[in-house]
This record gives sequence, structure tokens and C-alpha cells, in this order.
Amino acid sequence: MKIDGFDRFENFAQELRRRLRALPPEDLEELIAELRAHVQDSAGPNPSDEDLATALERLGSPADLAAVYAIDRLLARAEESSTPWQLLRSFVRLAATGVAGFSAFLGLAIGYLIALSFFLAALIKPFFPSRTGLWHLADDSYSLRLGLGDPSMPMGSELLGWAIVPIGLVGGLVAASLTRTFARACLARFRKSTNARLARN
Amino acid sequence: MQTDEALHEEDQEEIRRWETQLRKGSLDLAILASLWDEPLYGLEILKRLADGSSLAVPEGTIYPLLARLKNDGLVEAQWITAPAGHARKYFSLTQAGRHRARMMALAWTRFVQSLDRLAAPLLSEAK
Repeated sequence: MKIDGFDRFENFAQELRRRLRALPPEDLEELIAELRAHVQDSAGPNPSDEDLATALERLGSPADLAAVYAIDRLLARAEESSTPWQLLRSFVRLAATGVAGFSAFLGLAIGYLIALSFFLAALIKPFFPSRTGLWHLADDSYSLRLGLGDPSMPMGSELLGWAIVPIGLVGGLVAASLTRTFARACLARFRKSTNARLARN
Repeated sequence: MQTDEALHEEDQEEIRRWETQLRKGSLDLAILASLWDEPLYGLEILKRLADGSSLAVPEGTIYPLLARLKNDGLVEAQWITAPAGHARKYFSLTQAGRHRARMMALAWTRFVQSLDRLAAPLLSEAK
């Protein structure tokens, strides 16, 4: 492509990169390569600046394309995620897309943190039995300890004893499962609104 | 009070919008069907879909659709460099894609046939 045309497409590509920075880089570059090849074909051999301008215009504005691409690709990746870690990583990307994405990520992070706390309680109890448990303190508040902190006994009574182990395991599994369900529901919701947006375009 | 001409204009506009919606609804099938005989690259697929009329959609939007079809395992893609030019991403149907395309085509035919039955009296009356 001629130097002028090259600038035109690269400007377009930069704008697209800016709008789609939430996407995994390899997906983004693949897309730009696809669009570049498309413009090269659409504008024809030895295109004039005008040919290129027309070809770019027919491609769609960076805003249009970004709106259609971003969520679609992110959703696809998130839907493929199987482990909580993969899910979290996909949702981190979704978080960058707006309030809805961010809230979903927050919900997921909190859900998995709760699950983790449950599991930790179950795992740590055998190693630090006197420092792990749920205490009802003298001032009527509750304190959950997971093996860390002041080795001296807090003032109050520990409520769970060794039952914290099965409670922790079961609670962790339940929390993890609920979090996963929440993630699926979010993805389904995003998928619906994306399809609606694709249709409207 | 609108003139006949203005009403006609409005009709035309509405029909155009409806046609666009129709095209969008059948886009998946259209893309898969266009790939039935041979692998094609993006612009070639668009040309087959447009069949003369200009598509009122931004051309770039076909790529997310193709990406989704690829994710669903219905098409696969390969970058091929022509001897005298740049690399192009060619899309082709997978076995699953061929199967899905046939199923969709059958469903489409059933759908169209029932609509044809409904529309027949309208068309004969217009004569």
C-alpha cells in the first residue's frame, strides 16, 4: 500500500487497538491482520488514496467494529474457561469493558474469596487448631481466625471446634459452585445483549 | 394527511429495514452455505452474500461472526499467501459445519414453504 494509505489504515488500526485494549493481544492483532487484508483486497491493486478511504469507510468505523468485537470475543473466551483461575482471568478482561463487566468481576472475585476462606479454614485447622475457628467474643462480636495472628487465646468461646473442617469443605464447595453459577448467568446475560447489539448493527 | 407518494416512501423504507433484519437472521446459514463448495476469504464471502445489492452493514462486522462460527467448531481458518500478493485468511467448513449447514438449510426450507403458503393469496390478489 502507498505511504498515505498505510498511514490511513494504521491510524484506523491504532484507534481500534485503543478501543479493544481489553482483548487478548493475539486476538486483537489477528483481527487487525484480517481487516488489513480485507482493505487491501477491497481497495484493489495500486489503490489511490481515495480508493483506500472508501475501502476503510465500507469496513465500518472503529467504534462500530469495537462494539461488535470486544464483548463477543471476551465472552467466547470466558465461556471456554473451565477452572476458577481461567474464569477470573477472563472476567478481569470483562471488567475493563464497563460498569456491568466490572460488577460481574467483583461478584466473581468476592464469591471465590469466600470459597477460599471456607477451604482455608478446613485446611488450616489441623495445623493450628487453637488459632483456627470462629470465636464469639466478650463484646458480643464474632471473629474468624485462620491460623494467623496473636497466639494468645482471644477472650470468648470458640463455637465450631473440629466441625469447622467439614463445614469449611462443604461451605467452600457450595460457595465455589454458586460463584460459578453466577459467572455463567453473567455470561449468558452479556451474550444476550451482545447478540442484540449485533442484530441492531 | 400523508400523500400516497409519502406513504409509498415510508413503506419502502420500512421494507428495507425489514429486509435487513431478515438478512441478519439468516446470516449464519448464508455464510455457511457460501462456504459449501470451496474455502473463501472474507471479501469473497461478502460478495456472495451481497449478490448484487450492497449490504447495508459495515463490512468488518463479518469477522466477529466468522470468529464465532470458528469458536463453535463450524468453520476453520487458514492464512494463505498468494504468490503475487498478501496473505489472506481463508475460511472453510468443518465436518460439523457441513452437518449444521444442512440442518439449517432444511429448517430454512420448511420455514419458507410455510410462509409461501401463507403469502400465496396475497400474491395472486395483487395481479
